[in-house]
Amino acid sequence: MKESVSRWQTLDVRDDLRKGKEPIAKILAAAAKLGPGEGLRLLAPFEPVPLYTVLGNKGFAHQTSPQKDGSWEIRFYRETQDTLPSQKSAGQALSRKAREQLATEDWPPPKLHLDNRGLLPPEPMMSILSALETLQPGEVLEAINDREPQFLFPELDARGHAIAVQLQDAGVRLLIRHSGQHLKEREEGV
Amino acid sequence: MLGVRVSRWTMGYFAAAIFFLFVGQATLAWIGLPTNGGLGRPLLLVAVHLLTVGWLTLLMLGALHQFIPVISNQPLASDKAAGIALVLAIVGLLSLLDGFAALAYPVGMPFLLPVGGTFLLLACGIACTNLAVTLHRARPLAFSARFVAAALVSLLLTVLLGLVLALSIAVPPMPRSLSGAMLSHGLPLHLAAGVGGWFLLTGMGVGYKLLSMFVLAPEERGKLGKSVLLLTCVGLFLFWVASLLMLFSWTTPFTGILLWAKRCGGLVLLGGLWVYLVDMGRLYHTRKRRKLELNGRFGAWALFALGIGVALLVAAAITRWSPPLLTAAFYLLLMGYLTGLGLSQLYKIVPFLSWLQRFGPKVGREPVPRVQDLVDEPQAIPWFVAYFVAVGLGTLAMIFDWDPLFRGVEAANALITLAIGVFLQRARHTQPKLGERPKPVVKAQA
Repeated sequence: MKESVSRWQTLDVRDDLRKGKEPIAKILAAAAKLGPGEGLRLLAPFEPVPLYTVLGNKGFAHQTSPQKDGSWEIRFYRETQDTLPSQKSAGQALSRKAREQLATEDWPPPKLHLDNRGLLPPEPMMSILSALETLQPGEVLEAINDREPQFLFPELDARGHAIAVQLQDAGVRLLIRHSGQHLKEREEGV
Repeated sequence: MLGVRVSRWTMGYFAAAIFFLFVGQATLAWIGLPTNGGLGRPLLLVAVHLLTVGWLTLLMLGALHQFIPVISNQPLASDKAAGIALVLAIVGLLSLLDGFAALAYPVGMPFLLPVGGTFLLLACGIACTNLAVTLHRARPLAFSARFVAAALVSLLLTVLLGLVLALSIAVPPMPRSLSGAMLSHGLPLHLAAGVGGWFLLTGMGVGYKLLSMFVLAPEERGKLGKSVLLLTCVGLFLFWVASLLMLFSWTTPFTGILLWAKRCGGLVLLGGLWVYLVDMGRLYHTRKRRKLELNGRFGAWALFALGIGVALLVAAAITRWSPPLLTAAFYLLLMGYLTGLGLSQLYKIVPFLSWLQRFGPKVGREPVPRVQDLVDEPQAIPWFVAYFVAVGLGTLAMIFDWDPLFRGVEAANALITLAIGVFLQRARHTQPKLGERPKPVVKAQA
């Protein structure tokens, strides 16, 4: 888990990308050099989504936070299996990515609470995406679903919202923080 | 990337599968009852492989490329490999069909039989590797994924045996004794792995997941579910390994034991299917969604067909494998249970995936239709009823040897397939009326 990282190595690739240089080799080298208890703090001008898969395959989890200046900070850290939450409670396996993103201690308390249990897919997804539209950037929505909404995740990703997933006996608890990204896009007419 | 995207190739698999189902049913209508003129008739082999490879295998592979990621919470290992496997499978199937046709008509070349088998082995090898890697990354496997894992092994065995059979038919220098042994003993192995392993296990695993998802029933199946998995897999394994060992001459002194093991395996497998039916009954009974949609309703009809199919298998065993009963049992399992399940679930999956692709990015930002708005269930229901009634009549026609009825049933089924194909195509492209923006269920506001 992220908490077990005692030292963060920072790598800023914003300048490289501005100059048109491809920083992937640099990032992979930095990740490979990480010792036990170390994590990689990456600063990038955009959200490096493909990198999540590349480093994910090498056993890295990540936590993404958009910065006020429009850049992105991503913390990559090695997953440690033994500290993961129990998978058996809800009788289903929790995705690796979902387990990675449980760190929400700096999020505000949820503004909206949705109970999507008993809804037929894809209604839970419709309910969550519609409710998110009523939130302001930074605000958090809590939803309880019967199961992990697999097809919602890419959509949240595309809209830039952050998500944390927890398995509970009553279902799957989702915390989603509004990014404000697409509001910005809308204002800019993108 | 967190979560699962719609695989680019799934719809291609489904479209090809529906096409081959239509052609397969039309071929059956043309040739009539399978028991007329021997089960080895080349045209019957064409029809059977159109239905088993072209329809059921492509349908299941297409569905698995979408649902293994959902079952295992993992993106598919390679989307490109899914496309390559589809192309190879179609090329393989067409060569195979041409090879079969060449046995009776001067239209093709018999050597295309093993060529087609090789292409199919490649296609299934690629697809199974792709799916197995995805599953492997998601260990421990979810309950329904365990059925699928066992089914994938069976698929490879089926195709491998199919290739050996094709070689023994098409390659003249092969010693007659060997090719004779392969045909008489290899065929039951090919059938057992294909129908028992690949089709039934996939149908059971996907059925557990899909039906519990869409009728809102618990996915956790407890001890009963575990015993289904154990009984079907152990039964199949015993049956299959005993049959395989009986192929070799050095096992002759143990024939008695092997025969006994084979029968035990068959019984255990039938027991597993029976427990599955009981568990699915429990699943429907404990569902939260009382009013069933089309796929839930006809999913239950398909399970009913499975029950009758199992009963027919038992009856066939009691009558020392009377050919009409045995072929009727296989017909009901393939066309009633698996095809009925496949068509009814396609009627849910195709609109669902199309909705995700077309409207997913728009949800919340502009009014979007509901998935239900992409289909017209009252219009489709009579066609599904007609399908199941026709399959029931087809089964009777097989048992009582009524050739004209069987031909009529298959012609009708080909038409029904065409109609369902049109419904599915419409669901992909229709411009439905826009529904109300769904109102979130807000419990409390802090």
